[in-house]
Amino acid sequence: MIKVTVWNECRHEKEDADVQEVYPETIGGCIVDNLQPYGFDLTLSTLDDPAQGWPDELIESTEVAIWWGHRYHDELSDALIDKLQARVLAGMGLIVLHSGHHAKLFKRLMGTSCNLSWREAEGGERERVWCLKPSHPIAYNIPPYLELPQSEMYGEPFDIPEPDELIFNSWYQGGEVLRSGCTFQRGRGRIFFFAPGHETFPIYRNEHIIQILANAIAWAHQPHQSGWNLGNWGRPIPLEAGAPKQTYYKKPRKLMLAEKAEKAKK
Amino acid sequence: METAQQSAAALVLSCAALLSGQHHSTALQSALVYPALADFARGLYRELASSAAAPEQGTQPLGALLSQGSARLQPLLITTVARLEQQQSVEYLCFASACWLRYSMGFDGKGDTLVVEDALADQLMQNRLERWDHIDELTAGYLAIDGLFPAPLAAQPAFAERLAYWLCVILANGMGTALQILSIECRDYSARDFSTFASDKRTPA
Repeated sequence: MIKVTVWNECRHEKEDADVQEVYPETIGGCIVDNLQPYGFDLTLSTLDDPAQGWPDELIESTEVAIWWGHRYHDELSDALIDKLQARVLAGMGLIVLHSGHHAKLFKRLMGTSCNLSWREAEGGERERVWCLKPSHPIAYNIPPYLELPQSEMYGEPFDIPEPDELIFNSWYQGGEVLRSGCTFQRGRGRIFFFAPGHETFPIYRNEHIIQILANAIAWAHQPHQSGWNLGNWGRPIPLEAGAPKQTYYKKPRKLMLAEKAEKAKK
Repeated sequence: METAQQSAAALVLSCAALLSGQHHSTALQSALVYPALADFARGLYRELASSAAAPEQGTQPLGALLSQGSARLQPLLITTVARLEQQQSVEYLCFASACWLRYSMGFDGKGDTLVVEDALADQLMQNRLERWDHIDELTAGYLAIDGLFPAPLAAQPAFAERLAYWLCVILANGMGTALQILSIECRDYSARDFSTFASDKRTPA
């Protein structure tokens, strides 16, 4: 059973009546409830939980993380982002939703601003999500396109590195388009960014959206543990006989200084 | 009853655990949850043809398992000679020797002093101080220490080559990464039934 942590900033739900109305169980709660039938081992955590929702044991045990955050990205400590980044590089899958495009963790992993154009039109606007790779695991059981009657426009230019795969592309009523379902590989970690999911529209109640999230979890989960992490490894002895090798090794600084002091005494 | 081989295995595993960041007071059993160290233990037991993990010493603190290493290492070295004669793999055994030599250098990864209680401690330290600057001379110096390596082993070029290799890897990378390299380089990559694919998945505790 894949261990999934749904991390939800969960402040809109405390601060905004319109969000409470759409998601009385919170956005994270809605995602967890709707993913239950897929048989994942789901944990819900939030920014206001101890350790900002990411105690060390949870970071270590999580195999795939779903990330929904918006207003308070900057509250997350850099030390926590360091740990989460390392965990992704070591193989934790990461699914970043909607406004998570500006999450510290996502920006760190992308290395770009992750800026995009946006519009929060009164009552929302129509979004049509086109599936570009029907045979991709994330597109399992997804129709050629899906219509979201109310959505927030997220449009290009979207400042991300070239995605490894573009699975979904969105068109908005206002005419803008966005690469709305992108995959990336960082170290051993698989990352999926998925744009739909504004807090005031019931997008996470759409069965296709939930199917995409379930597919993305299965895809982002490490397929096996064989192989290695991409470490900074010294190869002092070359494979080819006769090629020059490293013969001298640095000592730890503390030892070096101690030996120097000892020498000076003599 | 603990065998001399189990005692030697406990010694080198303790060296590896200590130098990869475990504290002196950690029990060997607890240190063996670290996957790369557990891989080393499995590979070493395989080459020692022993399936038992040092049961009597496993619960003692690492620090208690490290004294008189040059004597306790001997069963492991004798097995190395035997396996070399039969042209069997000795990678884990060579790593084990390198591991203990690294411990005998008397400092940990941070540069803090390790007190080496051993009959050969002075000679080992002298070799390290005199020959640190060149790995081949350093290794040759260890092989020349009287009573450390059995003569047939010290004269065996294949052993000297693999010992120098693993000592280099440990010195260049530190013990933690060296254990991972050992695990990767010595893993059995022979063709497997695809059904093992699923069992390679991680199952966190």
